[in-house]
Amino acid sequence: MSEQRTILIVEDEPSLRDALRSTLEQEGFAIITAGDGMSALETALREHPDLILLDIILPKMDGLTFAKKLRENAWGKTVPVIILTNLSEASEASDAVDQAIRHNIFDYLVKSDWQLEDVVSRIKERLRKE
Amino acid sequence: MQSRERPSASLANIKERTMKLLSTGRLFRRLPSGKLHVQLALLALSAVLPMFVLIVYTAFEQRKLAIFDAERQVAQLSRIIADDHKQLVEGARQLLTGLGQLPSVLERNEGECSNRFAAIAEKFPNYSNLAAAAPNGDVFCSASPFEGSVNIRDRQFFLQALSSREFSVGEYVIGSISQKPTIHFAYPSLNDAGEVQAVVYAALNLTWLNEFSELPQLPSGSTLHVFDSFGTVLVHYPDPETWVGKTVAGSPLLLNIFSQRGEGSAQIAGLDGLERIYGYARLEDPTRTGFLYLAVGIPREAIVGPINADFTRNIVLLAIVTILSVVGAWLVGDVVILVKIRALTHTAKEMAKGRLGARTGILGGKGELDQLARAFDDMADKLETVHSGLEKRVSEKTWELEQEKVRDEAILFSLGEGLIVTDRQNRIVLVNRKFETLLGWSLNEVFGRPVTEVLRVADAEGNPLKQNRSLPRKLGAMTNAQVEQKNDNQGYFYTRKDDTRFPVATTITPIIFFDNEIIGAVEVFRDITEEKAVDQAKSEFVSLASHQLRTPLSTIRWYSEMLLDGDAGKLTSKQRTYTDEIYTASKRMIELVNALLNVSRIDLGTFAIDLEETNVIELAETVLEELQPLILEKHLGIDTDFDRSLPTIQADPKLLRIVLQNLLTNAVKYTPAEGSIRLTLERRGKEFRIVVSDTGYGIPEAYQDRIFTKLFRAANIRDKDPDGTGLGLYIVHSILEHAGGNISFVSKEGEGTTFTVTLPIMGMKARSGTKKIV
Repeated sequence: MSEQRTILIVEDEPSLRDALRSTLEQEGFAIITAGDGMSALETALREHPDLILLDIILPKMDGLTFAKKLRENAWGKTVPVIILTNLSEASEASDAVDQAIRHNIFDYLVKSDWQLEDVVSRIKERLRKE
Repeated sequence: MQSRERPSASLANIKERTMKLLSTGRLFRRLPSGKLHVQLALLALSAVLPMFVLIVYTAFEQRKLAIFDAERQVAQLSRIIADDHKQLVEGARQLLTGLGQLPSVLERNEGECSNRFAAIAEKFPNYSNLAAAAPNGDVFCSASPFEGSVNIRDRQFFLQALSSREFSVGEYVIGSISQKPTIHFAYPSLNDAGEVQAVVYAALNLTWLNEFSELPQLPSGSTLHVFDSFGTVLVHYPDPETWVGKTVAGSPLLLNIFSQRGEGSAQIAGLDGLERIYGYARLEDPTRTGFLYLAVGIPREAIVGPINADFTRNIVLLAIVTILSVVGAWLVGDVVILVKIRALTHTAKEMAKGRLGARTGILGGKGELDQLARAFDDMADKLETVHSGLEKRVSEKTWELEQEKVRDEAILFSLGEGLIVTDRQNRIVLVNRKFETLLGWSLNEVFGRPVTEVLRVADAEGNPLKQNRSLPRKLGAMTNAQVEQKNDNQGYFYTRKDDTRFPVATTITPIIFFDNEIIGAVEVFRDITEEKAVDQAKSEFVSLASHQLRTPLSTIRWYSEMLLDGDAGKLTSKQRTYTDEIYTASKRMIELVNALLNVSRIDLGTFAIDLEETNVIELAETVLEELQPLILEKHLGIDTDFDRSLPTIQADPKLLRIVLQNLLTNAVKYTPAEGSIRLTLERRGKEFRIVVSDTGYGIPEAYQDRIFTKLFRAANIRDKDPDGTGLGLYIVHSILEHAGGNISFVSKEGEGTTFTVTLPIMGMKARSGTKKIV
């Protein structure tokens, strides 16, 4: 742990946000959070986290719009993003996956299908590649 | 069209043709009745023929008879004349014998003798003179007074009487005194010593013969001739001046007379060339120097003429009668027969044309034709009655059928879905009211137009889509359902007349005629705007449910996981057990929610099959990788047999993934630890096969036919894995069913199960839908 990595958690559900924060902090990550798309974008561009955990259904600005705007930014273009959502429903999810891929996001995790432990390993794996 | 033009054209035509026929006389030959006419005329002619024969025969017989009569008549006349002549000669002999004994003659008393002679001569008018001459020829006594001296010693009758001392007859001469044809008889007057004292002679005037030639029974032109044996004409009546004294020995008449030796009769040309019937007789020649021949001739014409005239008259009359008969037959044929036959023919033709009211109109008469005509009319009456009855029934039946048709049309017309009926060429033949309201076109506007022109198909954005409406000609081996085209929820939009669009669900079905012939298509379609709205609502609901249900489930799962991980401090063994229960239940709940969402989509029939080039091996490897933790945990042996030469296939990777996932998860779940699982991907002919076999618990035979049923779980695994949803195989089966694939299995309880999935090598069946699974 020579260098502490910062993760931005974009999640509007406090209980889930807290669970993630608690678990990831335990893993030694610096955590910053945002409850809606707008503030998430602001925070991200300001704080330049090492990785963003992104929900899709968010107040004010949905996750995909956030991703689009993020990728327009010079820094935001390359930051790893893992989508962690409960949106797996057919059309919208499929659309969401497609859009995510267009935004260079290759991790699309459905929350309810994933153990926290597995989410942590995916994040670690992702950061290792950086 | 043609039939309308016909009357005027044909009228002129008929006129022209009639004129032509009349001018060539062909019309009569053309008439069908012409034959009958000719036959009737021939009949009339044949009736007249015997009469003609009779007339000819009669004329012939009459002429024969007349000629025979005439011949007999002239022969008789000739004989009478010959007899008269003989008597005259005999009379002359007696007279002269008597005169020669007179004393005045013997004494040559001139005065007394002449007186005596004159007195006697008065009693014999036929004698032109009675006279006596001395042996030297000097005439001394004469009944007719004479002057000077007359000597007759050069006359033959005188010389002959002197030399023969017997009665002698001289030649016929023209009397030197009387100037009439006369014949002289002479007789020598002998004294007792036998010396010739004188010769008495008499000149017999032959004019008596005229009496015969003027007999009333002899027709004019009759002739009487006397010839001597040299053929010299001695007597010729009439016209003696021309003929008497001429020799006509070579004429046919004379030759004939000679050949018949002066007796008999003949038809022969007379001296003047006119044909006559002659009777011949030989006149006694007292001098025995030869015969005289008498011929009486009646002109043949006088005999035959009247008969010929009769004959001619009869023939003429017969000809007139014949002509009248023929004309009569013609007319009678017309009036009595042909008129009726024509009436019959005309009526029959009229009836043949369908004018059943036609009648011959022949009412009276007892002839066969009248009876025939009446029978015909009766038949026509009956036919008309039957026909009108039939027509009535037909019209009733037609009306019924029409009613039925109207009802059927009303049913079709009132159908709650849009209806289009097209023929083989895809032209519209029928649409209904719903069609009209949905599309804004009326039947009149679209009738006969190609359906592809009227129905403008587009997608949601209005881009034109091509709709395949080609129909096989025959149904062939296919079933009706196979030819049927169903376009449900495929994103089809029909464009209205006003260019607005509405989403549509259509079903095009071939119209099968006589089992196999396809004569067109019937399409029903409906506006699915509302259905789409409902689908949208459902879709949104599912989306919401998935999100909203999963969020608390995620919370439960994650927090129980954190508790178990000791994030909130170490748990007691009991706490750990309880939290584990919560964790497992939440996981089950999540699986159940996921499966239920998929099932709801499958049940709605709204999931889509999006095809893309899919590498099944890669897909299978990913799924196996995901299952790796469980596989390791249970120490299962995984055996893969992938045909690396397999091409990518056209498939929906998400659906194929669900299939692989379910089959492999089941294999992993329901195979006890240390068991083995084998996954085979291979090509078999036109099929692509996925074979998953395990050495698991197997499916009891009693449940084998139910394992693809929704929410079914076999009893032997319920205990071993209480987490199963009973939806996995149902989903797999439904996907394969819709994608054109198949799934089958072989299983034995306690030994294992082998599932075999086949897909066409050409790929899955595409299917556009509103929903996607995953």
